[in-house]
Amino acid sequence: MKNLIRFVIAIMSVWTGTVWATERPAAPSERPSGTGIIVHSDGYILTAQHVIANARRVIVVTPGEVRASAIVVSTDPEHDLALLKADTVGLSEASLGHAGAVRLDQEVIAVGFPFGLREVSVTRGRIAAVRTKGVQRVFQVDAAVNPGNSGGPLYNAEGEVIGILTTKFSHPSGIVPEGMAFAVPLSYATPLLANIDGFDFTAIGKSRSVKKAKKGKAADDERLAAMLRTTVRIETARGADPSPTPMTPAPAETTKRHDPAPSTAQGETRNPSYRVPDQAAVQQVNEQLRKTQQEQLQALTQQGIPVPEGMVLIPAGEFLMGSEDGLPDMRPMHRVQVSTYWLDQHEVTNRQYRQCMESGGCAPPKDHSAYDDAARADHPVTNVTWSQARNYCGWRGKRLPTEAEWEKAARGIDGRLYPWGNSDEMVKTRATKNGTVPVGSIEFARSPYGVADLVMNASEWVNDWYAEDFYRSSPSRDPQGPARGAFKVLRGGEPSDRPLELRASYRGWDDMSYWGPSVGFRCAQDGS
Amino acid sequence: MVSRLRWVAGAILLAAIQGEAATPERNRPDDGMAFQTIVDLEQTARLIAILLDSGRSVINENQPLFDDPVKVDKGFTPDVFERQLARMFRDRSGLDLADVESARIPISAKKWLKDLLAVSKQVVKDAQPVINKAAGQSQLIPAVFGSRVAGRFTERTGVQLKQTALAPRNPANAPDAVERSALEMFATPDYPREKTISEATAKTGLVRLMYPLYVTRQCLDCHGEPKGAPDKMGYPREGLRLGQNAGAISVAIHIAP
Repeated sequence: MKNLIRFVIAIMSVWTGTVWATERPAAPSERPSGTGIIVHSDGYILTAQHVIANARRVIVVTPGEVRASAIVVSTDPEHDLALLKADTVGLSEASLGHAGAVRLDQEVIAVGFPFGLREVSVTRGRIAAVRTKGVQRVFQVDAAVNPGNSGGPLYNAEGEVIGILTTKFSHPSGIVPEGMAFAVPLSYATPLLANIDGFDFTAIGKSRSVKKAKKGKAADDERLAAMLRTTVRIETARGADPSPTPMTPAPAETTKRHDPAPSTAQGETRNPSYRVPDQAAVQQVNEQLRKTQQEQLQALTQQGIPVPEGMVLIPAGEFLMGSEDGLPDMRPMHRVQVSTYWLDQHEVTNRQYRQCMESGGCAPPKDHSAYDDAARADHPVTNVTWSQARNYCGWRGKRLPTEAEWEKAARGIDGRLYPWGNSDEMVKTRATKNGTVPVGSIEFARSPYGVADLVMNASEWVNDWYAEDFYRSSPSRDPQGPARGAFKVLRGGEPSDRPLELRASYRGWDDMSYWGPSVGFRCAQDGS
Repeated sequence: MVSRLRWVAGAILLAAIQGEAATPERNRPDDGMAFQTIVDLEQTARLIAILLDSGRSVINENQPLFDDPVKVDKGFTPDVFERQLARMFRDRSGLDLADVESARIPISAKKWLKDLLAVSKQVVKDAQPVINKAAGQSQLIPAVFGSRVAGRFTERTGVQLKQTALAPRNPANAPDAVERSALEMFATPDYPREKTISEATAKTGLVRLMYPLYVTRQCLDCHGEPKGAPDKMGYPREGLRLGQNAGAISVAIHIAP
């Protein structure tokens, strides 16, 4: 403690700039990695996610050089935040401030540990801008902040934490200019802080009103001492280890289920054993799927539950969605659990759509030349917008399928490329390449569950908004797509010479107001 | 306890769009603009961009009707337009244009969305003679609609609204430095779709937002292949491909003094 006070005094004498003291090389196995801030006396530390990413072991060094190992409680890679729990208690907590009250041009103070150095640095600057890129929103600080400060606190002049320094924000110019730093507003840490049992959110922004009467050098000194008392150094051990000691994930980690635990290499964990199945394996899976399907149908019949007309039962279970070697929006291949549902065996036909029109429930297709052609009554209805598709399904007491439901029906559970297996050759076998054909007439394209025309006839509107990066954050159970968007997903390629577009994992999309001669749909219904 | 739970739940739901509520005693007028206000203005700018783009989409969707060589009265009145626009906007933003007052959006957004709707309807009204012309191709295309609406909206509200692209057909739509750097970011193939870029700087006193636009199938009639061949307006086609970034809507709001 005496050392700390002496150190604070040392800083006071050279207050204007960055301060550091003696250098000490880090222990060989651990690397100085960044900075963190104590948010709860029971050892909870807030830092930047990239500071502890891929770390095998995390060590928190509290003021006074007390070292404690830490586990990762929860992470938010999107905002580059992480909450750690160090194996220690009785720490001094930082005062937290309202990020919402931060103003452009206000004075701020960054505190952190420059790389390779044991002593803290204190840098003053101002909030120069607020920048937003998608979901990332940061304070731009015009201060020369060392990279080791990453994960460390940004304080307001009253000594309250208002942000966490990040290096994960790319400046519009491509490189971050010298003398500029970014901080994640503290408000984005709220979901992480909610993992702390009994965390007092009402205390946020309180300390200022208590202390605001205090002015002058003594008060400044006191605030600075508090800042230094609550800032910690974080060291990590990274890379492969023959005998890894995985970090115990706290139960709270379920809040960010999609984020692989930092102890595991990213990407590989999602699906370690996946191989493209060969045709014999495909047949075996088909038999297995049909057997389960039949058993469940029988069970339903015994219970006296009627089978909805023209619909196929897809039993609940996990399947492999997406693809690793296709387009970026198919990545990554990931496991998705889908509850039992019914899916129309065929695409909605002109004949069926006419019933809805005649009852006044549906508006005519945007171009009705195909619809009016009596010879095409059993072709899929086309030239319909997403809203028209949704209306029709609603009229039937059904709904549009989700993207996941569509894909599971098309490829079963084994990650195959096409409904029939993995043969690219089959793509070329359909005689006509132009326009639609009567539903159910392409026998080989039936899916393992017996659903017809998921590819090769019309492409189909599904319920989800399109987001190119959705699979990277998709929930693993019954995903419903992004909450908002500008485009709706279209699934199932129309016949073409491009096998990639006929894959079950291919994701088309367009304006919800788009319609065309190859755009149709089918409906789904929840299982019991 | 109840109030804290509400605080937590509210904050989790709203953190991404709203940040934290600033308590009134913290609003010191001599300081710069508060983060919360910037977030509100950003949200406002985003809604303005979505409404302008929705209007463009409605105009786009009705091109076959406008181009109908036989029909004289196309029936595309400002009211018909408003209904289609409201539906499109509701689907894309979750907001009901007829009832913006009760929506949970910033007050600035409520005012300006109403202004933008009025201006958009006025542009459709003024274009009735062109729309109802019997022969020939429609002159009211999304880009023309967009620039007329943007110009009048800026005149009316002081909010700068503009369609821009790296290589715009209309030189008046050429990007400035901030717009250019955002457009270049949108144009990189791995840039995540539909993510806006915005900034509020102490130096400029502006909240600026760039909303990316993408090539859909209907855009290709005029902007697709064959590259260089004239489209229905007589401009050379750009040879754009489906899904490519095709520019952006730029919104700039002055931070109130």
